[in-house]
Amino acid sequence: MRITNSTILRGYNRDLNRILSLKNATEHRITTNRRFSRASESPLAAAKALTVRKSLYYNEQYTENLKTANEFYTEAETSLLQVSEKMAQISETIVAACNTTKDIVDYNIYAQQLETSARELCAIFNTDSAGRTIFGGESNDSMPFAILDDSSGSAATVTYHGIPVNAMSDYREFPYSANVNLDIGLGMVTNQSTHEIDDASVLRISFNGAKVSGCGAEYGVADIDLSSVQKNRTYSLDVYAGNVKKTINFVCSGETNAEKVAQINAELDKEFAKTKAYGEPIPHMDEQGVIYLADYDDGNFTPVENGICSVVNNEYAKRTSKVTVDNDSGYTNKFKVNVESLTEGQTYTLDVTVGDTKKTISFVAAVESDALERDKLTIENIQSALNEAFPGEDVSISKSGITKGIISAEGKNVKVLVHDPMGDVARNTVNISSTSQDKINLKALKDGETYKFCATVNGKSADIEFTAGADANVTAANIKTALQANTAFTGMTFDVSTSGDKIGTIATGGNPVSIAKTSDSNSVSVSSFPTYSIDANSAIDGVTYKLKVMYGTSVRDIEFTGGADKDETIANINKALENAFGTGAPTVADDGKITAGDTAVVLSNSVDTEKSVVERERIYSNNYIQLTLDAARALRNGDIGYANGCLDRIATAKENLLAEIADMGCNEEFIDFNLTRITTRSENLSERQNDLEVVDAKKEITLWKTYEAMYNACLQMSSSVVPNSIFNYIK
Amino acid sequence: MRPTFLGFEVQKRTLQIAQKNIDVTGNNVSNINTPGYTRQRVDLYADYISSQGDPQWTSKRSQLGMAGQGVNAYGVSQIRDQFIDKRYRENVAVEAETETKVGILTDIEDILDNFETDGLQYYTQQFFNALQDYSGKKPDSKDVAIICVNSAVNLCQLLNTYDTELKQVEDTYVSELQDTVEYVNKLLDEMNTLNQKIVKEKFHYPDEYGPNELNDQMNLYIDELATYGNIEVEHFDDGSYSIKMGGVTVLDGEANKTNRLIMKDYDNYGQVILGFESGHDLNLQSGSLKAYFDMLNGNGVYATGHQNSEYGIAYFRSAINEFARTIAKTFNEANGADFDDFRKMFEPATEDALITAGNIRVSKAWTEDPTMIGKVRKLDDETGLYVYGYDQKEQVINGKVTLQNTNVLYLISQFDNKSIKFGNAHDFEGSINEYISFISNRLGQKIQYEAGRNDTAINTVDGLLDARDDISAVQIDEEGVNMLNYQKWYNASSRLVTALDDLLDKLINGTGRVGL
Repeated sequence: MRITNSTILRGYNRDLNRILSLKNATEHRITTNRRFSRASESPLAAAKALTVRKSLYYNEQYTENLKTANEFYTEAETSLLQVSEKMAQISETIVAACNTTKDIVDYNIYAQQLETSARELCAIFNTDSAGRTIFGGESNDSMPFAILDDSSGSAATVTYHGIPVNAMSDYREFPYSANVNLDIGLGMVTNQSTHEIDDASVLRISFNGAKVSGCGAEYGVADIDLSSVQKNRTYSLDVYAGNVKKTINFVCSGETNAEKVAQINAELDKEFAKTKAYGEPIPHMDEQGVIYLADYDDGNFTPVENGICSVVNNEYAKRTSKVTVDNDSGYTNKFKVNVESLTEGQTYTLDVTVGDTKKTISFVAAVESDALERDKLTIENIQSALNEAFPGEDVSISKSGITKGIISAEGKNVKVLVHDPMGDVARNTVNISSTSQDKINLKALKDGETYKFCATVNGKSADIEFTAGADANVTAANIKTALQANTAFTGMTFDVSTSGDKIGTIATGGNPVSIAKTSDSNSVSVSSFPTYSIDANSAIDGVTYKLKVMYGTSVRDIEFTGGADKDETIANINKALENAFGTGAPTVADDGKITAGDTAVVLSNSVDTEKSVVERERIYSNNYIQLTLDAARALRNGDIGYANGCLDRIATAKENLLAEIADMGCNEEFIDFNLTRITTRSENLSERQNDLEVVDAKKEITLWKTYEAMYNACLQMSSSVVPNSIFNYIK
Repeated sequence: MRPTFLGFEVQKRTLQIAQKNIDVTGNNVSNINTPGYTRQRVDLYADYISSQGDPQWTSKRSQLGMAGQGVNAYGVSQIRDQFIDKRYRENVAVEAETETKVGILTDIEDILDNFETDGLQYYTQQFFNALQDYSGKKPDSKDVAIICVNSAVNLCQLLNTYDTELKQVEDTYVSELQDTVEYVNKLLDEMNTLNQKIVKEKFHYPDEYGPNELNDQMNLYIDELATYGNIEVEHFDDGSYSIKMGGVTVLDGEANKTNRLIMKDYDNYGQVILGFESGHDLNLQSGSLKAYFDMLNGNGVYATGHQNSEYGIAYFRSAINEFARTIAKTFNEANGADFDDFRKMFEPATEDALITAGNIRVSKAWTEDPTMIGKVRKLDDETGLYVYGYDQKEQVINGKVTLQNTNVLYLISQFDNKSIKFGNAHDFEGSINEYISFISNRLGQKIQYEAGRNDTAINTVDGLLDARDDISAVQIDEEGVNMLNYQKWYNASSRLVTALDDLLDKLINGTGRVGL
């Protein structure tokens, strides 16, 4: 190879430049702290780096989202724990009210407390987390829950997004009931055509208030005041029936109630046509203006058991008039005469209170073979009795439909009770009276001890002292001796019973002797042995009665029919007793006393509520706040039974609440799990990003030192790059 | 019979030739740094005399008198290797091509960078983050919704900037190409003139020795021309050169004419159309002209007309346009713009135009109502159409808002949609982020590939330059040795003249004189 100067110089320049560019590249990497500045420098690492960066960006965002969700869930859980505490407090209040109070003033105080608690519950359910209402479903309404007052100004109805919580039993049918979700990197799945998001692929960050607080009631109707519907006015009503909501709009064209009802029913039919076509129950208005849920069958509407109907004025419709509606779901205090169960020809007497006026009315149950016609005539009788009792006031009894038999007066409270005390004309109860005979608890006495008691016979009383013997017989003999020895009872003979339930009773000449404790320390303890009597005269001929009979430890329900006279009735009773208890059954004597030797017999009328003449509509809500309010209203009315009923339901509701809280806890754990998962992943990704993008400082600095040294060496070489030639040496 | 002064004649010629050798050595040393200079040698031969007709070699006894004719020279030759020249020119074309390509692609990469500056990935991610934040907030939270709009505006502006900058790069290289074409034509003209000169010189001296310096000049021109495109060289006996570029004759040595390159107005066609006066298309395998052509006309799957499937400026402009168009289409569709124009999130700056990276912008409807995307899609039972509102129908009337974020979530889900098609010819199917990686990778890999080719070509060219020097360059020691040699040669020849002179002196002045 011929090495020429041009070869040497070109090579030198090239190498110098190569080292300089390597040195420069290292310097750039060190100063930027990056392995590469452009993808082309390392396409593979760059491609990986872009993917890693994307994942890091995503994880950062998901962490943010999870934190948001976490705050939301924590606040929701806190709220529900507050609700739980508040409900315990409400239960206590109701218990206290039911058990310790008898005074209406006290009831009112408790009712007020409950009402306050209900408002507090409402406030808790309206809590928001960073501007989002927690229990408003998908709504941003800051107050999804509200309490509407009734005409008297007490809190009455709880609404969720403007709809009474009782109106629908399916929480999904309330507005804003869809879930609001957040993407937390579970791999969100969407349907490209419907745009729907698979709930399992996202995290829910909304709670349906209707679900959490409970919704629906056992039963409900909407009572529209037909007089508030006026001709030529426009109305827009939201009708909730069987979890279906429809809005009816109409201009009232009728004058009479019948015309108005017909028009509204036509509107209902039109709006609910689809529901009807599916064979589902639809709302229907009866002649009184009450809308109820009914099964439709060829022109006949049959009320649906446990059906719920609610009506509210559509608040968004413009230029419409409002109707007066009373949604009778939740606590209702309506009284209903069970017309169908009345006995034909029987006279009934009722105490009817309208507002502050109490009147007693009497009516006769009509006699008619056709049942519907009979009911109609009876209702007419009641209506005329009402008209007579309350002249000039619009007190009426509903003739048909679901409200048949309900007595109401527009704008006033109505209370109906079976006339009491003497004239209990309830056809299925007989008068039962009881006497009780005192007895000394012989078995509790100690042998050889001296005891005292006070005996009264024919108005004469005396303290008797006796010594207890080894057994009941000895003690009884001692008591007998002591009695007969007493000067107050000279000449009298006493019997002391020594066996059976009657043990320890004392009689003289068949009459019971009353026994009482004395104030002495050695006084005997006294209990009583009851004797029940049936007033056989109170039984009506041909009517079936039910009695609950307790004989010894066995309890039997017996059924007998009133006879033509007292004796026949007693014979019927005895027969029924024998059927129920067999040989040795208790018997009823001519005077109506029921006895069974020394064994006690306890009698009571077994009241069949279904057949009770007057019934009270009692409906329980499924919503905690509404239940609290209803309990308050019941207390105001002195209706302890209803308040107690609320208590049971609150207990059930609390279980649901705990389940809801547990569910939230699970979700919070899930959030924590994901946070940990994403944090770990982010750490791994950051490490990976470092590996891919960040300079290995040690390596680069070593390289740079090397290049610098090489470059300097090259420069040092420069003076001898162009070599001496032969010409330097030729002489 | 030997002529009396034969020796003198022989030594006279020897002295002259030795002198010429020293001259040529001096010429070599003088031109040691002259570009294109090829070392020269005097081609020597031993002279002889022959009679007419049958050869009468001087080594024959009857011709002995004419033996010893001394040295003579055919001429001054150059030392070149045509094969090395050919290989050099092939490789220098590749070197120039790849170097130009790397330069242009690097300019593109500087614009589309995702690493040192915030690029497409960053701004797309910002848009994603803004939507995510919005999805967790109230849909009527205008303050958060505005961040979504702003992040989308930023993304659009980035695309607009990309477009402007890529256009600038394109303009720069179009004008570079125009200058190059002019320069090549000028070069061809000069070569043509030189051809004529060479032929003329050869006409006067029609032997195998040509005008060395003119040939060197011509070779320099050819070397330069080789950087612009792949060429084939033909050297004719009359000394002229013919050159084909990409198979088409650009310099015709026999006819003495050039075939000039013609480039049509780029702005009229939007692409490079390059051909020759003769009507032929320019079809190169290498060279910087090919690099310009590929980088300006390379439009991948989007190629039309004279464009090709290379990944050049045109392709990356198309890719960015497709990104803009697809982003707009995807989000507009997801947001329900198919049913309602007012649901558009992105639109072109001028109505009814096709969306490009240059004209994409956030729609007026969205800018004016940032919470528009928060409205939820519902099917209207009556019309059977999708309507957007914050909630159910009555709430639309009332203007109430829900917290529902299904529409925003649906928009977010588009980022994970792995079946988005980019490009009319479906250049790519995958997610938005994958497409960003795809463009970045394609560009990075293309640069790496061309840079790799360039490295190889440089090494080969260096090797060939060394090989060429090995043959043709002046080696100074060699020349020094020659100089010494020729000098001694000259001295020896001079001494022979003295010897011959002594011989004649003896013969003329000493012969026949005895006893003097």
